[in-house]
Order: sequence, then structure tokens, then C-alpha cells
Amino acid sequence: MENSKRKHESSKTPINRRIFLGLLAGVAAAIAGIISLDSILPKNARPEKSTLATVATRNFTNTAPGSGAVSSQQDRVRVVVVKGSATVDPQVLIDKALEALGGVERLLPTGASILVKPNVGFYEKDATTDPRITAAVIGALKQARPSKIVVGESALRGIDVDQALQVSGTRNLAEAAGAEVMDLRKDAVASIEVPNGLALKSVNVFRMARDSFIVSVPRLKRHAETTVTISLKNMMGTLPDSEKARFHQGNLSQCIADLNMALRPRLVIIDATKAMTGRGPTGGIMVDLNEVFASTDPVAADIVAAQELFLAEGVADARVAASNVSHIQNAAQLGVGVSDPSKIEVLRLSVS
Amino acid sequence: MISLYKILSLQFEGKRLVRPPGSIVEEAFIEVCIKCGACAQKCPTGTIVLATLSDGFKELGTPRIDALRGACERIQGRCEEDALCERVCPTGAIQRVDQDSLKTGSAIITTVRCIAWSGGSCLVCYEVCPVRGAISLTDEAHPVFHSDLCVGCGRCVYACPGQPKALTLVPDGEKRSIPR
Repeated sequence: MENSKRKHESSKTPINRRIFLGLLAGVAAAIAGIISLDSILPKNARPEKSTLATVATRNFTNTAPGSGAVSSQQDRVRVVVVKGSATVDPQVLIDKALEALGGVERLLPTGASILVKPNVGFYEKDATTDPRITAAVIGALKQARPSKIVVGESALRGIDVDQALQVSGTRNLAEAAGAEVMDLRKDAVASIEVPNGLALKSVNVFRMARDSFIVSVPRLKRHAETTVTISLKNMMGTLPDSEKARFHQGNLSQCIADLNMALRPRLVIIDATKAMTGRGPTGGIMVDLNEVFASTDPVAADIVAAQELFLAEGVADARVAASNVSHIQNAAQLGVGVSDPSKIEVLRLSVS
Repeated sequence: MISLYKILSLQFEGKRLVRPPGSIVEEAFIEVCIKCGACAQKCPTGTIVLATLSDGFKELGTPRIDALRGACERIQGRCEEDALCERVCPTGAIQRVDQDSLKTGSAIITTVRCIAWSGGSCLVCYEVCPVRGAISLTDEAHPVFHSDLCVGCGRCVYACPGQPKALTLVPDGEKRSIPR
């Protein structure tokens, strides 16, 4: 009787202790493995991928007729040049320029997230965008009722962005104007496709740049490598250091063109209140031009501004010199914008 | 009777290191520096690191400038007023040095590694150099380094996108302070 009872009990015994512990360990290891895979890989090593559709359609959409989108056939692309003087309030220059482009409400949709990208890549004040211009741009953009305005920069490798924002006066003036100010290097990195890129198939950019309407606000300067640095070159500030390095390791001019194809600024406003001549991007001779250039076409804007710079230097044929700038040529060929003078309308205004 | 110290010093031979700006002469530096690491902690760019055993036994724990980690901003940037490393040094191993007497070393170029010298488009060193004339350009836009003007900040080294880098920072031509 006892024996059969014991036998019966043993057939109902729970799973073997060893097997159970083994299973437990196995499941725990599997879970740990899955979790660790996610946390081991650093965020920046796995940039998010964005499809062509989201970024490019936003950047290449026509806004108002004649205001200069890529696909414009009959209408010429407009570049506005507003000339003031040392005593003119920068806000007046900016407001006049944007009005002549059809007004800020036409240039940007309501509720847009805007990235204002000035040149704050250096500790030298002359080499950076006048912070009063940056502040004036912010002031003007507020009329489009954006969801937010962020002033961002990543600067050259070895230059601390916060320090550059501080010494240039950009942080103070931009924050006073109502924008957030950001060191883009602290942002996450995203990979975006380059439509028809010749040097690049995709490019890594800071997420803020990918997700915002970009207003490029460069200072008009000479540049030792790229001849000039204006709105197209200014877009390199949207790249993490590793990507900047990649550009220099390859064909820099083509990479700049490709970048602007992937991440085309919606609007460019060139600070030519002072321009750097002779040499650049640092250590050149500053001349007071007291001008701002504005356009929705970065190629047209750059070629017109480059011509102005060469004229100020007394270069023999400024127009030819401007059309010979490699990265401007490459960008035009790629379709970033228009460089043919017969397709560009230069509207000159002045303010006293 | 040879001391253990002497034996270890011979075993782990000291390398010539680039020292923080205003460091006193090397023999005194080794003795005066207490290896507290305060300068490395305070350095805003992170360029000051503490030497390891491979840098030498006597040098172990002493501060050195590593241009692969950052550049010295005594000449331009956050330490323009005064060097934070000097301000925080408790022993006087690092002393105050004026910007015009500043030289921690020199940047030197290996032209075969240089993108510009190889025909590519790069002049980042020239762009970031804070001292006018320390780097000049040939007619073909190749950078030439002038150690007489170079203050040894290392910014060019840090910025160089070459893989491997075409630039290194060496203590050649360094100016040291006299120990008080």
C-alpha cells in the first residue's frame, strides 16, 4: 500500500530542479543579451535613417510664385540686395529684404520648427555672423508664427560652440530675441539620403537640421579652400565632426553640393554688413559693405554675393570669378539652385 | 647603492612630454609636481591628461598636453585671461606665462599624410590656427608650418581630419618658466 502511494506521488513530482534552474538561467541570459545589444551600441553609431520623401519634399516645395524654388521654369529666381549704412538698424535691413521676397508668412508655413544657422564657427568676431543680424532674422521669423526657433551651430573641430556663442554675442542677442540657442554637437545624429548625390549617397546630419526648416545666415567671406564661404558652405555646420572630416577626405566641393541637395535651406540671408576679403575664413581684411542678401535659392544668392565680394576686392572679372567657384558650380549642376545669370533677378534696394 | 627609484627610472625611461603652459624646467617639474591632477580636472578642453607608466616612471601621474584630446586655449579661448591649470596648481609647478612668451612646443607635419599635400581639399589646420603666420600656404595651397611662430596649442593637430593625422605636437622649442 505504502509503495504504490509513493510511486503515485513520484509521477506527480514537479520538474527536475536542475532542469528548472537551467531554463531560468537560459531565459535570463537571453533577456540580458537582448537588452545589452541595445545599450552597448552608442547612439551615434546607429544614426536613424530618413527617407528621401520627408526631407526633400519639404525643402523643395514652391512657396510663392517667383520666390525662387528649384522647379521654377518661367519665373526667374529673385535675390534681394538691401544696402544700408553703419547707422541703419539691422532689423530694418532684414525686414525690407524679406518683404521683397514676398513676406515671411509666404516663405515659411505657420507652426514651423525653424533652425537659424548663423556662422558661429570661430572665436574671432570678424569671422562670424553679426549677432545683431541673427537677432533681426529671429525677430522677422516670428511673424510666421513658428512653433519654435532654434539658433544652432556645431563649429570647427576644436572650437567650443558655447564659447564661440558667448564671445560673438550670439547667445545673448539670440536669446533676447526669443530663440533657443543650441550647441548642435549635443544633438543626436540622423542619416539622410542625398538625392542624385555624386560624392555621397547619404549624409549624417544633426537631427535638429533634419527636422527643421533651415534659415542659413552666413557671413560673406573668402575661403582658402573653397574660394568663398557663403550659404552653401555654411550648411557644413549641420554636420557632426566625423562627417566634416569625411568631406575633407573626399571631394569637398562636390560634398558641399550634395549636402545642400539633401538639406536645402528654405531661406538664406547673407550677412554682408562687413565682408572678409583677401583671405579667409579667418584673418582677412574686413570691408564695410553694409548689405544683406536674401533669397530662397542658395545657389543664386551665393553667386550674386560672391560677385559682390570679388568686386569689392577689385578682381578683374568678378562675374566670371563667381561662376568659377567649384562648389557653386557643382550645386547648380546638381539642381540645388540656379547659377545662370539670365535666370536670376537681382533686386537692389536701399535703406537710409 | 642604487635605489629602487633609480632602477625603476632606468627601466621605464622617460619620454619628452608636452607640458602645460608655464610649466617650470623639467628636472624641477618632476620634483615639484605632486601629481594631484587638479590641472587635468580644471582644463576646459580636456587636453591635459596625466602621464602613464609608458611615459616614464618619474613622469607617471604628471600632467601633459595631449593634442588628440583637445587644444590648449591659453592663446585663444577660455584661458585667455589666465591659464586655469596655472590658477589651480598648488605647488607652482605650473606658473603664470604671458601670451607673448607662450610656447609649449611645436606642431609638425608629415606631408605624405596630409590631404592638401596629396592634392585633396583640406586646410582645416590653417583655418583653426590662432597665430597669424604660424601656418602659411604655398602657391598650390599646401600648408607650411613655422615653428618659430607656433605656440604649440595643438588646435591644428586636434582638427586635422587625416586618417592617420598628418600632424603631431612635440615639445621642440618649448619655453619653460624658472622655478621660484
